[in-house]
Amino acid sequence: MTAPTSPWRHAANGVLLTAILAVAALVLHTTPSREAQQSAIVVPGVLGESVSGRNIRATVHSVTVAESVTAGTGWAGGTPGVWVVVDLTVHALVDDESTMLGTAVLRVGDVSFSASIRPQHGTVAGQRLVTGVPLNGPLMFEVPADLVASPAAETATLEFATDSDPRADSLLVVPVDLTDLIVQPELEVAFPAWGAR
Amino acid sequence: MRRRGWLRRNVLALAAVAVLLPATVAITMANQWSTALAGSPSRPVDLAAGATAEYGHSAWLVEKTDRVSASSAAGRERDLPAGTDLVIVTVRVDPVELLEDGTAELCTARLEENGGTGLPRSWGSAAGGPITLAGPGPDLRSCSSDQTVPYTFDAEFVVPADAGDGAALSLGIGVPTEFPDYLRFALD
Repeated sequence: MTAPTSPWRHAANGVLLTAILAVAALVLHTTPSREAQQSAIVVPGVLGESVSGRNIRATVHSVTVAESVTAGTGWAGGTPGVWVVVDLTVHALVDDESTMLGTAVLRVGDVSFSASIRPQHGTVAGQRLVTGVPLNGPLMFEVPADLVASPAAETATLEFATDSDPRADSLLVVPVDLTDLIVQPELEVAFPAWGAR
Repeated sequence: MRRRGWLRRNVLALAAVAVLLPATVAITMANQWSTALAGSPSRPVDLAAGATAEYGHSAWLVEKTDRVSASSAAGRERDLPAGTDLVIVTVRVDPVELLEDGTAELCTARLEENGGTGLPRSWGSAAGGPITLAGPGPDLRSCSSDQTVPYTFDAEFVVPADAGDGAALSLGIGVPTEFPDYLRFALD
């Protein structure tokens, strides 16, 4: 016959069980969601200064709003809205195998605009990058005319990444106040060029 | 007689769990990593400058390396971007054995920079790259399946002028059938 278990032993087991349940609850409620686990790693930047991620470095030199834009290829973009034109320098940092400017997005509030590929070779959007060799050129975003004067345009952001799906990789985010900018009637931009500016 | 505690009674099982659980995770992760790396040139075989190596169906040798600055006459002739250099590596290929269809094997060439203060960097061949070079350039810029006798090709790489400063440059030669192994020749 075995001796009866002491009340202290029962109490200790209860405390241990409660502690295990508390730790399990903590882990359950603090574990990042699948979306958070795969989300892009945001790297904040500043207009006019270079910002670097895992395999991308970019500098937004200026932002202009224009009613019409003519690319270095001669392409002239007509739009019922306006063009937000970004002067950008970008290059790959460590590896240029299959590396391109896959994400070039203007986000205004909850609305995002991808850089237009209508200018084709007149824009750096979607262009392949080279390790350490800067690519300089414009990005054109076609947006509704009233959007650039909206309250959300004060806190607009430009986002850049090397893949069209930047999850689990660096996403460079540069804030820009579009309401500060005067709308130009027309704008001519240079053809994208390689090398130091 | 005093009853043995729960921990003492289960010590062997707990020890087995403590060993097997991490081992299972480690083996699973290692297996996934090795599968992922097997399809790309990820395991270098380092070779000194001037060394010859048999790899795949060919023998390989780096004959010489030239470097042209964008500001030089040769650099202007090729329309190199400002602040860049053109690194030209001449590789001798001796197709020891041909493929079943009678052609020579193809390869990929990459320029690598290692050992500096920054992260390792690499560049793909300028042939087919986004930077368009002027001038005729070399006759052969990569391996050719038509070359069934010993031949040379000139792999060209457009790199920033600081490439190789305080770091070692090397040429990686990869043949898909030999992945993940690839040859990594040190450059002079």
